[in-house]
Amino acid sequence: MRGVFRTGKVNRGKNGSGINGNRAFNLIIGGTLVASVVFALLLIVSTARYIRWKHFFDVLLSREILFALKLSLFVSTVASLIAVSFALPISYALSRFRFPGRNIIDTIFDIPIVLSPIAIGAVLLIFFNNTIIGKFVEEHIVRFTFEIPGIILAQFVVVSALAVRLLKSTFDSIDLRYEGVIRTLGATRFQSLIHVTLPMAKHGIVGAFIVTWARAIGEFGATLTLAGATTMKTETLPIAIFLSFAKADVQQAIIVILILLSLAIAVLLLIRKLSGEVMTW
Amino acid sequence: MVMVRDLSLRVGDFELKSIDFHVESGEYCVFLGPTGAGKTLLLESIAGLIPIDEGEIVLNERRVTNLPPERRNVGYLPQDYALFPFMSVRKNIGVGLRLRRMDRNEIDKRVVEIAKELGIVHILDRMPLRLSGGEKQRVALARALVLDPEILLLDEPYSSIDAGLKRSLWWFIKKLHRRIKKTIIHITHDLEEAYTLAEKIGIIIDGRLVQFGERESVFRYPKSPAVAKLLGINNILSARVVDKRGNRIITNWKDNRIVLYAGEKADDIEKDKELHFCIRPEEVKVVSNGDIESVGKVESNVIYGEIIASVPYGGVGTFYLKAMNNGIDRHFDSDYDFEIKLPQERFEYLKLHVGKRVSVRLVPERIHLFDLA
Repeated sequence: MRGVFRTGKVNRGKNGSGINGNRAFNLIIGGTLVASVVFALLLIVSTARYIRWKHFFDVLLSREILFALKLSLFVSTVASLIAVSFALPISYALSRFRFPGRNIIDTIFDIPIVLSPIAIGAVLLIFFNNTIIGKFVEEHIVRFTFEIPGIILAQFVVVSALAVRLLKSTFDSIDLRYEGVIRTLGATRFQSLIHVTLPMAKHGIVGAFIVTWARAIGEFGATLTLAGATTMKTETLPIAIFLSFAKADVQQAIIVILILLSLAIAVLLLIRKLSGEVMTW
Repeated sequence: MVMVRDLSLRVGDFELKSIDFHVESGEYCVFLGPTGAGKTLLLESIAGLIPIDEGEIVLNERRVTNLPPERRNVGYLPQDYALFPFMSVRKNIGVGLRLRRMDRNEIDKRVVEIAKELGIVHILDRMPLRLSGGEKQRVALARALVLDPEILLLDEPYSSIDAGLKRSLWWFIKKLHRRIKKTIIHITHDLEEAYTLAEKIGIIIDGRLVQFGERESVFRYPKSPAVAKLLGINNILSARVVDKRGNRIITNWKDNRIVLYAGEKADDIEKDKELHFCIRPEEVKVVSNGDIESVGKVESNVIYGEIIASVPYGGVGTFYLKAMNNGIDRHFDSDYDFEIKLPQERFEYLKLHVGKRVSVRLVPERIHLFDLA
C-alpha cells in the first residue's frame, strides 16, 4: 500500500494534464474574465466622455425626455400586467394538465422569445391594416397602429411568452403533493389554486412581473413597426434613443441610455433581493 | 373499512394491475414494496388524486370510486408531509376547517383540542420550516385528524428520518392508532417498519399486489421467491425432486439430500420437478462445529461448508456459509449459499470466524415451499 502513496509523480503527465494543464485552464478562464471586464470599462469610459455635464439636467428634465420616461413606465407596466394575467392561467394549464397538443402549444409559446421583435411587429401591422377583422377592430374598437395602444399590444405580445415561460417553471417547481393534500382536506381544484398554489407561487409571480416589465421597457423592434416613432406621441425610451441618433443628438441618446441603465440595475437588485440572495462584492 | 376491488390504472409506462384487498375498520395495514413498485400510486388512487381505469374503491360502505378527493374524507400524509410553508402550524391544522367555512372561534377551539391530543400546543405559532421531523409528523397528523377522516393514508412517513428517531416515531403512531382506532394504510419499503406496525400486510412488486394477509401469515409463508427476498429471507433454494412419500418430499440440492414437507401442495409434486423453497436465517441450526470426520457420510438436510463472512451486530450474529461437498468447494457461482443468524452469545461461544468449517441443519418442518408455478 505504501507504494501507492509514493507515486505522486504519476499525475504529472506530458500532454497538458496534471498541474501544467491546470495552469493553462486557469489562464483561459481568468483571461476571458479580465478581457470582458476591460471591454465593459472601455464602453463606459468612451460613452461617459460624450456627456456634457453643463447641459445634463437640462436635457434630462426636458419635456421630450420626461414624456418618453412617463410613457415608457406607463405602457410597460400595463403591458406586463396584462401579460402576467394572461400567462397565469396558460402556464398553470401547461404545468398541471396533460392534454393532446400540449407540447405543440408549449412550443408555440416559445416562438415570440426567439423570433425577431420586428417580425412580430410586422405581423401585427399586417393584421390590423390588411385583414377584415383587424380593420374592424381599428375602426370601431381601438386604434392600435401608430397609437399608444399599439405600443402596449406590441410589448404585450413580445413579453407574454416570457411570462408564460417564467410562470410555468414557477408552477413546475411547486410540488404536486401540496395540492394533493389540500384537495384531501376538502378543497376543490379552484380552491387549491387559491389557497395553496398561488400563495406558494407568489415570489415567482412577482419575479415574472419584474422580468417581463424590464423586457417590455427595453422593447424596440415591435413597437417601432406597429406604433411608429413619432416624437412626443409614441416615443418610448428606446424610441427616444433611435430618434436622438436620427437627429445626431448623441448627448440626448446617452442620457436616455443612462436612464435605461439605472432601471436595469434597479431591476437586477430587486430580483436578487426577491430570490433571497445576499449581495456580496 | 377499505375495500379495493380489481383496481387497475396506467400512468405513462407504469401500470397497477388488478389490486384487490380488504382492510377492516380500525386495522393498521402496511403495504411493503421496493421503490417504484407503485405503492404511492395506490395510495393516491385511494385518496382520489389519480383517476383509476378499472375497479372499485369502497370506504366504510360508501362507494367513492368516482368522487373527487375533497368528497372522500380521507386523511392523506404524503412523503415529507407537505406542510404548507407559508402558514403557521395553527393555520396548517385549521385549513381544512376553514375550507368548510366553520366559525373562527370553533376552528380555534378544535385546533387547540387536537394539538393538545398530539402534544404540539407549544408549537402552534411556529412556521413549519423550523420544525423537527417528529414535530412535522404530529402537525401533519393533526391537520388530517382534525377533520375526523374515515381512514388515514401514510406515504413513506419515515423515509427521510434517521434511524434512531424513526423507532420512536413508530411507537408514537402505534400508540396513537390504539387510541383513535382509525383504519390506517401505510406504505413503506422498510421491512422492520412494516413488521413493527402492521396488522395486515400487503406486498407490492411491479404494480401487482402479490400477497396480502395477516402479518404473521405473510412473514411466515411468502408465496414466491420475490416476496421472500423482500421479507429479508435470503436462503432461497431450488432443488429437484428425487422421491416422494406422501407429503414428505426428498430433493437433491447440489448433491445434498434435502427433505421437506409439502403439505397440501404435495399432490401437484412429481419426481424430477424443480421446487423452490426457503428457510429463515434464524431457523438454520449449527449442528457441528469445526472440521467433521464424517464428511463422506450422507445425512439428510445437513450442509457442510465454510464461513466466508461474519457480522456480529446488535445482539445477533450473522454468518454466511458456502456449501462444500466432501470438503471440495464446487460452487464458485454464488457468493454464499446460506445466511444464518443466531444469538450473539451462542455466536461467540461457537467462535464462528471467517474460514471456519461447520455443518448446519435445515429442519424439514421449517423449510417453506413456495407456491408451485
